[in-house]
Amino acid sequence: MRKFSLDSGVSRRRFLQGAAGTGLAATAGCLGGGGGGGDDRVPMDVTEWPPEDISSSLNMWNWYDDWAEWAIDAFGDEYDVEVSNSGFSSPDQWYSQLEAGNEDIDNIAATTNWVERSIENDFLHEIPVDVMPAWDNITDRIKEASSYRQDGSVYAVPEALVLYPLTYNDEYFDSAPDSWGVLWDDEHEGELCMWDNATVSCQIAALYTGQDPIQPDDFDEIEEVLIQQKPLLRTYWGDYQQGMSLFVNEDVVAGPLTMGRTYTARFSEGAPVHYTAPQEGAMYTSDLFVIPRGAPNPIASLQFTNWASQTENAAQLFETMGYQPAVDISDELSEEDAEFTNWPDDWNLVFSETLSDEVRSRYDEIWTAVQAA
Amino acid sequence: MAGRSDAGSAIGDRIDAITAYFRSRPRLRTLVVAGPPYAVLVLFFAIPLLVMLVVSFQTSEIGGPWTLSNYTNFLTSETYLTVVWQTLVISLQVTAIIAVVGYALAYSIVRFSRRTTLLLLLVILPFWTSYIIRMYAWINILQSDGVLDSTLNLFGLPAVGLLYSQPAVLIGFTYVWLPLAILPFYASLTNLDPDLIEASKDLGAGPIRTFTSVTLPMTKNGVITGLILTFIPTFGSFITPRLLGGTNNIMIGMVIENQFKSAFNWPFGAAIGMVISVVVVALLILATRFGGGLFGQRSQGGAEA
Amino acid sequence: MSLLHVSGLTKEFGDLVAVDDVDFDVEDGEFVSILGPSGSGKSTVLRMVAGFEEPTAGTIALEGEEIVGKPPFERDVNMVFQDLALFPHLTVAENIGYGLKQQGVPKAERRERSERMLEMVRLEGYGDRTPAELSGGEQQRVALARALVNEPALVLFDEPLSSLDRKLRQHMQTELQRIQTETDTTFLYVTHDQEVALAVSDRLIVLNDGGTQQIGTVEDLYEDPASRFVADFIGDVNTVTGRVTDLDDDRALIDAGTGEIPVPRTAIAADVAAGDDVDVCVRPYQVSLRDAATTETDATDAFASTGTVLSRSYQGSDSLYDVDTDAWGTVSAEVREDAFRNGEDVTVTWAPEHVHVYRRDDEDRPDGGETEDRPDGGETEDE
Repeated sequence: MRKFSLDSGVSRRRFLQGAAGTGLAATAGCLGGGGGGGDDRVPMDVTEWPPEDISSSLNMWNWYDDWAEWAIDAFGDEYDVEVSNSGFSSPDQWYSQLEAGNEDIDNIAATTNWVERSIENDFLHEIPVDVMPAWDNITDRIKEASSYRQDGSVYAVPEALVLYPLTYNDEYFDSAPDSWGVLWDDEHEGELCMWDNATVSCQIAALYTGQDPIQPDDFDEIEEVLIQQKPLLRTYWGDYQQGMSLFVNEDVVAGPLTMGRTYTARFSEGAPVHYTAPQEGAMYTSDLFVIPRGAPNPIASLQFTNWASQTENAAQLFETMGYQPAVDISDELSEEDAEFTNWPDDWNLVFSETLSDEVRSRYDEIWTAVQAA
Repeated sequence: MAGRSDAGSAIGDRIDAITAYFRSRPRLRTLVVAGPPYAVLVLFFAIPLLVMLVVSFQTSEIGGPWTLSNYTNFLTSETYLTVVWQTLVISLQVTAIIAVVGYALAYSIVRFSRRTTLLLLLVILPFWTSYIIRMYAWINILQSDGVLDSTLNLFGLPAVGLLYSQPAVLIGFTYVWLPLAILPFYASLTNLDPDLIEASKDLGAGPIRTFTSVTLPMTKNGVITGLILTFIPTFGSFITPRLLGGTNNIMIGMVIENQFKSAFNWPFGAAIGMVISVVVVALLILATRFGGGLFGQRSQGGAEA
Repeated sequence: MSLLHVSGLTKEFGDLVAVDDVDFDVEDGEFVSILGPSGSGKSTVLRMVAGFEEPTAGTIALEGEEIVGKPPFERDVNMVFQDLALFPHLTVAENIGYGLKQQGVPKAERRERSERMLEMVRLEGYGDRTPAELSGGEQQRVALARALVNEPALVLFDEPLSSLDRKLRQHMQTELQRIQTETDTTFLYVTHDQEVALAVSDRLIVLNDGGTQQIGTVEDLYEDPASRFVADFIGDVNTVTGRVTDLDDDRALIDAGTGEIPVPRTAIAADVAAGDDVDVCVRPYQVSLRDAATTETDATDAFASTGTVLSRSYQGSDSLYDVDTDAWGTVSAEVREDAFRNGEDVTVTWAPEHVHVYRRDDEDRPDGGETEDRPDGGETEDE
């Protein structure tokens, strides 16, 4: 579930940069054996800010490609660090590296449930958030929602809030649809879409039928309404770019899309789209910065995490890609952007807790059955 | 000069010595020649397959206790078997379309074109572009008000809006696998002795009879090879139906992909994968028994004149 | 009415004229060969008769009916291909029955006729084998049977024997003749191999560079070659060079280095003029050898030169001598006597009425050049 932007994909240039960065890091590690001793410290060794003697390279895995590209230069210039980024499309790509014993990755943008997994398996460094000045910038909403603590220790710093809203055509609709029921309204037959994603689609159906999307009690009803919905749909989109094109080409007027894609569709493609959280609620989750054990440059990674949570740098996440950073950036935004991104406080947002194995596999079965029906 | 030639002959001696060493040890020689390819096969094919097999017998998480439930769940579920059936149907449709279109194309390249190399190059050219990008190109062509519809409108014809439908999936598959099928079709057709065609006509067979009783039987191996090369990747596809298909175009490859990427049920995905592999291998054996030349069993080569 | 009447047949491939205004007839029951070197256009003629090539100009009539424009499968001719073109995916019986099947002959009858044809070509019991299991000679027979079983008006052969070794080829020649007689079919046979053509044909059509050189029986062509090309191509010939010193309606005086010899006008090609350099051709069997010691050379009324025997080989009842002559280099003589030994001095002679005289071209072997405008026959005296 990579955060695609218009020019998505790891560009060759970036790949080479990444490779070169890794090479440089290795070289630096060899040459600068004792210099500064940054490599031997762990983040919890930092008791005063700013940390001293950070190493000169940083390898991150961040799937906010466009923001990462901007950050490579911005952070690199400010702290004289050679930054490289590996884009990825699925969290299991970095997770399998942690499982195999990490030696390269300093910093990852990890989705909540993968953070939980990593904490459980002791793959992450604890983070001294109390000494990090930018920690205070993180909004309470996201601090409360994300899971990043265990036994009182903090293992991650929220980076972005990921909302799964209902995106709609704001010329077609006079006002924002107030119910997921719009996706079951045969008035819009053939102009609706769903996301080809078992969890997202089943949770929308759960919300629509008034169930708990994390632990629903009537799976059959979910399957039933999803099958009912099929004839009304244009398609299930399977790829972010494709999903966005559906709205940009005005093939559909309502359906689930990410916030970033909605932003891009509106401001880069000029499509008449907006997003909303219907009264039944909208799912959201968060991406967090983590410092995996085995990171060659943990202190630089800590510095980067703090830097990224500074308001003006966090604002770039919205400016470049349209995602909502974990930091309150309303002061940094233009009126238009602020209007687009500031959600009413009364929106009913449901945190996308990690599903139990049972629910997840039932959702998957339901989704397969719906498509095969 | 003398030094250089001495060095040259020294290297020559060395090579001779090495050659002699291997010549006198035929087993070692076999190992050196056949070893690397077998090693690659074992490392990148047999071992992963074995790992998949092992995983498929575990419960929900890798390393969990042993179970048969992944297989029983799959094989007793009407839903999954329906998906397999739909996958089989669409794969057969694609194979049939490619058989006709690919053969016609290969035939016209062989028989009626002088610039065969150029044409073959054009056929293979799309392989230089990423699969996904080619699918996006088709989205552009097929979507409402896309290239196809605009062109139709230009000629006063009604738009068809094919995207997100079964025909769109068939078009995408045909486009993607056609080159794979054309090459064996082409190879078998160029190997066909044109005298046999003339002999058939000379003996009173018209073009259609000649095609069915000489051309087609003589190129059967290439045809079956091409169709196998089409059928197998289609059966396992998940990108094309996801991007071009509508709400009714689920294929088993998409289900497997979901187990690994979003349902996090690797053992179940592995079990489906194993069952599908067995089915495909069975079909493959069946096809080769009908004379496919995939394993080089050219039962009937050209008679020596 | 001829079975096959070909007239003005021309085929151009781009700028290349492969076949140039060829006329000939084939009579019912005849065995006619088209003979010529490779590139002479003979295969193209055959392919036009079969229907695989469309003529640029000209007509082809089979049994009085124009067949140009008809596809091959509608022509009552069958071809035996150079590489035989047996269907490798079919059995021998299926190969032979292929044509009958196209005609809608029922299976039982097909089977029966195939078997009869296999007997005819002496391959009884081979019906269930595949072509790959047969020897080269056996495959030839199957190819022949496959053509004959359809009882076509005309069977075409495109050098089918060329891949066989000499002994097998000679055997197949006699088989061909036997089968042709037994089936009473008309054969049109294309080859570059004059030995085959001379052995089997009733009549020969000699082609060179797309044009007809001569049409006639084996004897016509051998005894009375219409051109230096035919003389050279059909059988062995000795060629000596000379010059026409005088020419009138009755005779020419030719100086071939042994004085002026009078040669009958009928032995001289029409385009020869006084003062021309000419080739004087004579067949080895027309050349006599005499003991040099006992013979006097009379250089005024016969070609004669002394020489030394180089080699001798037996040719059945005759002996073939190569003699190194003083006047003309090596000359071959085919004679009854076997009295001469290698190194012996001999006198070589032949009579002026046995020669054929052609204007000398610049090239060594005159296979280029135009067809000579000369009516067939009658220029030279018969034996």
